[in-house]
Amino acid sequence: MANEAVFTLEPGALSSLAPMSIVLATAFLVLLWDVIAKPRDRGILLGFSIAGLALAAIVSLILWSHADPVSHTIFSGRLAIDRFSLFFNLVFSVVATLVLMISRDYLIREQIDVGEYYALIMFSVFGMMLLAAAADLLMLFIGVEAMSIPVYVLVAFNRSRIRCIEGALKYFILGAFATAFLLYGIALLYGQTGTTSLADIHTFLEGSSGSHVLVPVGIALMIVGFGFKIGSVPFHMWTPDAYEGAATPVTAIMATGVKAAAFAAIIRAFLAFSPSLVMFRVVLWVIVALTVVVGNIAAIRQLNLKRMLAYSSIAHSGYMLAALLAIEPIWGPQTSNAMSSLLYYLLAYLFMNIGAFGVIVVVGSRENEAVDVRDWAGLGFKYPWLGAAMALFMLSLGGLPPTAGFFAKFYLFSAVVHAGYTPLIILAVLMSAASFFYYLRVVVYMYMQPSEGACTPTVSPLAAVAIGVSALATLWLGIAPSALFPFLEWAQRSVAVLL
Amino acid sequence: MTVQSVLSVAAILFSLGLYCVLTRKNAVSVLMGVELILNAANLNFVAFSSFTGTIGAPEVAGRVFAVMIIVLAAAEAAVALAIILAIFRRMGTVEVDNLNELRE
Repeated sequence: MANEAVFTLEPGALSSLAPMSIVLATAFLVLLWDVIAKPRDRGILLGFSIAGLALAAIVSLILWSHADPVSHTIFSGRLAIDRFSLFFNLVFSVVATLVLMISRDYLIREQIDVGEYYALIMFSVFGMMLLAAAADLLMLFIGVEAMSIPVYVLVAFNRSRIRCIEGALKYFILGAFATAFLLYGIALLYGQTGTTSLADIHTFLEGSSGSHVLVPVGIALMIVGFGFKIGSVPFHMWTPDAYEGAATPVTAIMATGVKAAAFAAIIRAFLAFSPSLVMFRVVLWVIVALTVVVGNIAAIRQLNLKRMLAYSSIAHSGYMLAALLAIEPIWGPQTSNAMSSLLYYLLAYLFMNIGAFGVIVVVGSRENEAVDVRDWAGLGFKYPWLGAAMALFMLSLGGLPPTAGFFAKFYLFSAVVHAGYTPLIILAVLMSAASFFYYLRVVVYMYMQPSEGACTPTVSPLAAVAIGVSALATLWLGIAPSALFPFLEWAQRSVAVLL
Repeated sequence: MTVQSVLSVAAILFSLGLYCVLTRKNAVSVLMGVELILNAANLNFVAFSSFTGTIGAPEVAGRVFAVMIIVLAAAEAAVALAIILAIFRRMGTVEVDNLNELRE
């Protein structure tokens, strides 16, 4: 038989899965524990989930130091446990921990503090980790679904509010659309190349003469699918609705964790498609330009903070997508620079967004969610620390030095300029200047309006720590940006070696 | 039967699904449209898998993929129906047009 099973378990395969297994096991244990725990013990579930995430992060660090500097694929090349995926494991653990910390007050306030919430977050984190490690289109698909399905449930979690379930339905249709396009694209690619492995597809595309009609169609459909997932224009229609409808902590994880995981998958997929990407330059150029312009212009009109942050996250997706334009057909310093700056941007983006959503959570109350910026009038004087933190996150999102947002934009834009896309970056810089209008509006309301705001923040220690950590990270990434470079260098180099 | 004929059927299914998602007002119909698109992809996978392998040694990756899609589509449908049920309980209707709480 030519087709006998070639599946072998590589030595160390199971132990390199440890971070994912720990997260998954924690999720199941939380579900079980929830059945026997008394309602007032729910705090234990939160602690247990955070402990699981911390353990996963520690194991990822250990694997990082032991990792084959080159690359390590397991399950016959299905999953890549390289420094790229370990880097993302760490990122997801931190993101989920911060989100869980800001969730607690919200859950108690809305009387939806049940164990399933923590379990669903953990299931979703498992999907994210799987997605970042996917070295095969099958794993990519399973990762996308394992990440998204728990998030659909999370968006609808607050069933008593009609906005939540409306947001959930819209987010589901968006997500299902994304998956469907992604799958159809994968099917066509598989038909032409006869394989679903990213490394084999890369080899095939390198050797092909370019006369395969299914390859560009497949890649185009995958771009549409990813476009829906990260909310790039013109696939962004319902993103703001879903972000606004969802409970604020859930919006935080949709805007950060889910987007970061999608970008991890995009980086792997696009590097594999790099020999054929030349013909998509124009399409990508247009998508980036549209996303940056529409995201920023639409955000200007928003007085609703969650909607404003939704459009701002669309705009940020646009900036990050620009880095993909710098991918060369053959891996070189230009691609390498662009990928490093993209990873840095993602990191900065995560902290400033979680921080901003965290402040929105603590400022709101059950009666008034405080998503209208007019409710924030005078907040900066009544609550100096909260005001200062929110101002920092807003300035960083806008990209003012010395915050993380400034250096992220600086590195990313200069990497893309080096690739020869100066007009596009001029547009992006102009648009990010325009973005100050709506970011600074929040600061202006907080500090320069008479104190008549209706909001009554209640800051618990847990949420304060989460916001504080985000603020410190935003500052630290801005003050000492170079500290991270060796880390990012290793992460992006290992993803290249895989091909 | 050639691979082209199967691909044509899949492409028609895909277009029908797309049309269904974009035009239907009923949330359940929208879900059915999504299922159509997923199954169009499924058909593609099975077709490619049958036509690329040699007799006795078929390309199995496509078939494995098809099974995975069926499983995950079922999971997705379960969640979607739960969401639609929650909407029906609150509003007594599943028309997408009536969902306009979230607007600019």
